[in-house]
Amino acid sequence: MKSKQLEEEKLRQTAFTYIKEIIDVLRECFIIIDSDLKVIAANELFYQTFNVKKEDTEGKLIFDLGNRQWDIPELRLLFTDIIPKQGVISDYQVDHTFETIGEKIMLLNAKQIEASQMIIVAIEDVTEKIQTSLYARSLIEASLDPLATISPEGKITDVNEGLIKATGVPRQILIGTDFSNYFTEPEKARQGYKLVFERGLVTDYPLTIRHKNGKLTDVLYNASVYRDAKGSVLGVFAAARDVTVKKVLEQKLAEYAVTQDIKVVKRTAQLGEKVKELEESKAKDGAVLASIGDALVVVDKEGKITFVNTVFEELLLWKKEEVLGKRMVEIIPREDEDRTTLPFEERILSLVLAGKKVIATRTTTTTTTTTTTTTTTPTVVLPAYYYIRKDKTRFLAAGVVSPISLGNKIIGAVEIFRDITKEKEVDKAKSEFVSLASHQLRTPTTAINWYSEMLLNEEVGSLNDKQKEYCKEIHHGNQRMIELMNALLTVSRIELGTFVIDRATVNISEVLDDVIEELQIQIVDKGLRFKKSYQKNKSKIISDSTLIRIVFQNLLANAVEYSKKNGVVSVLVEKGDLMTEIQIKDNGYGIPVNAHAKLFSKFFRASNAQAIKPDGTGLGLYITKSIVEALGGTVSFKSKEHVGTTFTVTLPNTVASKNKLV
Amino acid sequence: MKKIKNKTKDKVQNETEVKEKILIVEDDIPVMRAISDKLNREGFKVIEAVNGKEGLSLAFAEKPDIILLDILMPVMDGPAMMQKLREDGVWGKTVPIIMLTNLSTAADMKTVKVVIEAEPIYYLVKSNWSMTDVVGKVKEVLDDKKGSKLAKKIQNSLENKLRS
Repeated sequence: MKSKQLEEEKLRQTAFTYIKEIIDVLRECFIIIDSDLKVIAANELFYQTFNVKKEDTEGKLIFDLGNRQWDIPELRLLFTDIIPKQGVISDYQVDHTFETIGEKIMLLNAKQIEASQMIIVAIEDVTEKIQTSLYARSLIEASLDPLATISPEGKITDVNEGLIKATGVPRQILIGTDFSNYFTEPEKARQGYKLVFERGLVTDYPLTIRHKNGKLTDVLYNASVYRDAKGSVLGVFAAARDVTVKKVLEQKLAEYAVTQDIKVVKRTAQLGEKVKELEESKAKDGAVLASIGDALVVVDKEGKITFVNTVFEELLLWKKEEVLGKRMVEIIPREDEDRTTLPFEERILSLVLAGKKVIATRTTTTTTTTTTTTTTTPTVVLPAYYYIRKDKTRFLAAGVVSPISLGNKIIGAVEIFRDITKEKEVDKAKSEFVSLASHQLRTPTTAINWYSEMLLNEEVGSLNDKQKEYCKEIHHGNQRMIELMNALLTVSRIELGTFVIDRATVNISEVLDDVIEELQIQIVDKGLRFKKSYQKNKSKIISDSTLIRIVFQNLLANAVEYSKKNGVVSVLVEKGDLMTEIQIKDNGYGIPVNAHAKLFSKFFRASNAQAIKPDGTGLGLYITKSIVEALGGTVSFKSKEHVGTTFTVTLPNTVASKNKLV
Repeated sequence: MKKIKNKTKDKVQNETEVKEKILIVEDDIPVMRAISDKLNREGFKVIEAVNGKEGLSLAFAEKPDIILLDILMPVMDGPAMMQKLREDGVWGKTVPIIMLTNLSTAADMKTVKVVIEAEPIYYLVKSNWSMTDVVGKVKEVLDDKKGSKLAKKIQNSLENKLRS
């Protein structure tokens, strides 16, 4: 019996030694305690980890270890209650702050060995692991970028502050809702999500997060699936990168900060290269912008000036450093002709920044702009206006405003303008010249016209045949000069844009009758028949009667001129709901096919027209088309040689008020 | 020339007893002479002025039956002379005026329009009209005056203006 006990004791010792040897080599803390909860032994790692001495441990009550630092409620519960009952526990977590070694997070696995009355306790020090994951968590939280984890069903399972900020929705509401709800294009978000499942990973997927207050954030999403130990998909981790310019800049700065790290020395070098390249290209751009002959100003989303070039400084007398960061519309007031300052919000720059579509019509100082609220914003040509310099003097300016967009979002604008005082003076001079020339040239032609007429009428004595013939030539030559002058003046007015459309009720039938009356002599000479299909009470439109008269003078004179003897000219007017159509049809010489394409070109004349009327100007149809189009209409023709020609003019029943003839 | 003039003069005098007086205000002498010669031959008494200022004093002195008035002139232009005329007395307000012009640019047309909207008068673009047409127009206006159609028109227009 005694020997058997001895043998058992020996065996136990052997087992104990064996266990001790094993636990000493394991990379986890182990202690072995007896049923009285006294420590029998512990491994080296335990002593190291918890900074206790072997001699202060063995044979001591576990709770007395390290000056009773181990008297931890959770441990008491474990050893006095749980283990005696269950015999075994796994991953029992104990958090405790030791006086000597600070906070420790421990995972305990313990087993009671019935035969030997021992409890083997394995203590895993997970402090670092947990802290690392907490650190990772705090890193995720600290990230400015919106991050989220999403379930396979597309529901948000976790979010960071970034996403809360970007959406304006609190965490508890975000979690459990559909991820796709928070984007301007939910369908696109869902598709991106599907892609993640198909490929396991998606990078740089563009989406726009919509804040509940309407603010949009352009992001590029990187997302990947995460799996459990068995490899089945638990969800998607989605990280967005804010790509609005400000954020990109912030990140660039953050990247600079990273360069402190030794590990990224190489990257630093690369970044350095990039920065150098950027600086070089910036310097180049700067030089280009500075050397532009026009004043240039760049503003951010808020309309604050971020860049001006030297011409801007010279023109407005403001120094760069005085205006940077200030609102363009405030520091540079805009006035119209009679010194009324345009309200800030009506400035084209403000409208462009607000994403409004601005349509501007060009040419004169009084040109107006119209605005509508649509999303696309093309470059806008500004009408002429006055800008006020620093010294309160003003100058006439003209320019363009272009939005700077990233994706479909406007992040700023560029305005380019110049002093057009001189150009306007030249324009005015040109205009005055035309007006003067018209008056000065017409006066002598009037005198020639009247004197030759009176001679021809033999009012002051009879003429012989030769005298009569010469007199006729003078009169006729003068008539041609008047005609040509009128045509050239019309053309220069069209090209100068000094034709202003005067809206009034125009009765097309009356205009046609008047013009036909003017042509009566030629009509009778040629024995032409006129078929009129129009009614005075069905041909009133709102348009410009002077301009419409010029159109029909040209078209009817052509119809008469290029008709054969005893021909027929039909004139038809048909008023529709919006447009009125006028047809002038002859059965005359017709227009050769090779002349069709160029018929409306300035100075062009068809070969047969040159033969029939050698002194034509080649301006009539050019003028006709310019005017009709300025009135918002169209002109077209159908013609066959020796069969005839039909011209069709369509005019809007009401001409748009703001159109100018350009 | 003299012969013809006398002949016409006799004819007109026989018809109307009193020669109708026409004031022409025109700064271009050849143009002025063309109209003046022609109207003389037609039997009218023609008075000539080369600018608005001269025209105005001659108008008040001679009280013509009709005034042919150029628009662009030195010293005082046509519209200015007309305005002064219309501001003064019943005769000044009712004497028929035919505006003569060679203006044709849009801005000029506007001036003309403003003038003829303010006053129911006639205007014609010289280079577009034959002398026969000009004389025809003068006679038509004088006939209108006799029938006092124009006078009535002017009267109405003045009353409307006073009312508004």
